[in-house]
Amino acid sequence: MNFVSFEFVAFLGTVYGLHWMLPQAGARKWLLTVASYLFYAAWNWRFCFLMLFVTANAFAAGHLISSLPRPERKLILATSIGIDVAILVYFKYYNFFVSNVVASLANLGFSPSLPILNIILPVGISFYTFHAISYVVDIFRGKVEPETSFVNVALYISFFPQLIAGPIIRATFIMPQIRRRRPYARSQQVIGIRLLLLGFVYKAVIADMLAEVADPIFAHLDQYNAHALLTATVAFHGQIYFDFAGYSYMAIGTARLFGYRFPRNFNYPYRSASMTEFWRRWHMSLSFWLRDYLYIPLGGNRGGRLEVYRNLVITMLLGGLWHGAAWNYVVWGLLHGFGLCVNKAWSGLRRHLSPAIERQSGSARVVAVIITQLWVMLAWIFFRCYSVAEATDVLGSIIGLHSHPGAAIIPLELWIVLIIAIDHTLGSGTWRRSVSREWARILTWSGIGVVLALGLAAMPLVQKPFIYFQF
Amino acid sequence: MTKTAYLLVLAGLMVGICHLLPRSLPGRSWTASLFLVIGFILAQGALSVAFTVLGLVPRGPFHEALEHLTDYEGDRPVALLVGSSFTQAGIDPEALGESLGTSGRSVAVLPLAIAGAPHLERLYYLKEYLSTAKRKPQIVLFEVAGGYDSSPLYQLQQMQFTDRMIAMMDGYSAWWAFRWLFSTDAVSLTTSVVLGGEILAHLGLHVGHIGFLWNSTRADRPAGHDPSSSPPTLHFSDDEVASLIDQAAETRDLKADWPQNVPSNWMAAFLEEEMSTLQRHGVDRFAFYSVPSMQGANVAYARRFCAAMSKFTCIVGEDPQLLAGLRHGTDWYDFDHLQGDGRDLFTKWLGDRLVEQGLLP
Repeated sequence: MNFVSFEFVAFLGTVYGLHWMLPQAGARKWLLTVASYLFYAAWNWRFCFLMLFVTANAFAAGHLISSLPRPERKLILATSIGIDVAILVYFKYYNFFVSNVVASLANLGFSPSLPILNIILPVGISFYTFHAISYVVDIFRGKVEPETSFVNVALYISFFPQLIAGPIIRATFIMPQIRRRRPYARSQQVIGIRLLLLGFVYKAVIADMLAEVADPIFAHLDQYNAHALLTATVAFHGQIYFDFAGYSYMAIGTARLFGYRFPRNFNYPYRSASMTEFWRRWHMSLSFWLRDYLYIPLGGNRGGRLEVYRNLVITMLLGGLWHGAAWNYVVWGLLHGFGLCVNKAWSGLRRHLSPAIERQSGSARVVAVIITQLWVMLAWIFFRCYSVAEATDVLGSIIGLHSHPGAAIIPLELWIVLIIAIDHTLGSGTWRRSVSREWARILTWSGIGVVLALGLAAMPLVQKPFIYFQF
Repeated sequence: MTKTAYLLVLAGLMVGICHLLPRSLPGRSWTASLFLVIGFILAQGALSVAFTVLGLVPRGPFHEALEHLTDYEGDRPVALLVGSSFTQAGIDPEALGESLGTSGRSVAVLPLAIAGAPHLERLYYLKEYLSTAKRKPQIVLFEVAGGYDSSPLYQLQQMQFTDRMIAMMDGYSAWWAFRWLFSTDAVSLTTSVVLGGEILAHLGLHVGHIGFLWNSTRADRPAGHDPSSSPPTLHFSDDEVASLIDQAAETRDLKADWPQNVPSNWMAAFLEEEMSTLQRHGVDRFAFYSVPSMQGANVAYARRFCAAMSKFTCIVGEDPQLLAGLRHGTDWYDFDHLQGDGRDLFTKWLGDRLVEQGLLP
């Protein structure tokens, strides 16, 4: 069920009305859990059982970890995580693994016959397995108490605003909210509506508009010239941000309507002046998850420089694979890992050379932002193309390594950069002028009405699925 | 792509407004709702003005057809064909015009006929055509087809929430859609409720201009309409065609779910509305025709329709001589759509009948 659809509006309206009509907190949680399973069943009801199994695994492991002595606790933790990872690997990576093994053995002269499975990838599996792992690990670390109520864990893992594409929410963050009764606060409703509106404009208007530019070109790369490929790359650079940030704002806004706070997932990432800063602003819930549950357990910043670089590259490589079972995602992850290593080395070098140049001047920051964004954009080519070969062809054409004859399109790069600049400048600045309370109300609500009318008129009627639904 | 640039600027404006909205306490719910509605209506008004000033019209097959039709400003009298894919496939307008011309009545035949166009959509664009045509038609020929006449909302269900169905569902179309819904016994209560909701939803999307900026184009932009385009060739064997044509000629019954009184009360009222719309624009000659079909129910419907509309010229495509010429598999794209030689034969035959009737100016 797409967030930008009649079905979702009807679903949300119904669940919202029922939720706030129910007087008891327990009943509300049951309602949200059942609604979340119905939401998931609208895509494929069979996989509700898989999600239920993942939930039961986390719930049982949580209890066992809290009740057993330390050595057994580790075993339970490993078993629980192993089950989640096995499910993820089976559905997401098995065919990728087998086809690569077969190809490698074929190169060596063998002809093995390993079965390729005809399975579909359950929507949101990468997200809800991460939620389950987060719950169990946080209990193991003593950061969160094991739940006595199964429905609380089920709601945490399945809560529909974040079920399909995040944000990935820590158990430590959300479980205390689930346990307590969520009061109805009108101020929270206003925030929720505003976030929903912003997400709607991001996704339904801008991202889908940019998809109309990028998609046809990436689908027929051989038919367009190098400049068109550049336009498509810049369009995708904008599309993926507005698409995913739009989804995240809508998810956070929807949760707010039910009284739940979700952490921020994007903080204007295209104003980052380094790759490290980029990952503090982009898909923050994933990057912090990878940091806490992967990078730090690998050793983090401890040890020698090479060990830190190794940890960064492994983390980003697995982050790339998390997005999809394909070599282009691996390369995307490696490019980000390499970018982070270079950034780390440069920071160390600057500190070593002179503390005076540690503070960036305005112009130096602009240069740093441009370099960072060019690197991010380069990596998006690998993310968007269907294969590494396609991506290198696009990259080679754009930077002029080889000619790429084909049709031209009207260049839109400046317009796309302009809209990103408007968003990042006005969104992250302190531009709001103080007005009287009465005027603030008038401007807020009539402004919401204006944006809604303009957005509905400007959006393409046939909405594209959110990009991150495939992960 | 130029339009995308303009829309990106508009999107930038929207993002800017979103970010600049002051942080406010909610206040009373009704005042918040009131201001929201006021903002929405003001923006809708501004959009309506902008659409008029910019001359934007919905993009789609009808826009392309209208572009072609309204441009005609020759000296010849105009005959307008109003129909669906049956007409689009089965009649060659150029050949029909020539056929009429050889009889000493030089006529420009303009087809307002698009595949899958229900009556509501035809009337919507007929009005648009009449308001912008450089030369008004002297005669309008309406296609008769049992499926379209009996289930005027079928296409709405088939193409629901498409740009095309939203574009045609103004208040007037919605009124006629509801009139049919309340007058028919052919749909269950549940289907009626669902259909009623869908009509209202389409109306809401139309009135709210939803998706309009994206799916619109300047009315004066060349559209590249090709009225002679025809579907790809499928083949029946000659024996199959002969057998089907014979069966169709013998059929007397309509489909069970079609209204048995022909035309239905709704259809009669709708035709009256169409004709009075045309009369307001000075058009007062009407005729009806049916394209040959290998489905007996369609032929039986056309026969009954023409019998009931005795005040008008009504031509059923089932003349024995015509059918004898259409007994080749290559004449048919499918059961209801002619092609190739079949199309040429029927066009010539229809031209001769029209000349015989002396309807043309």
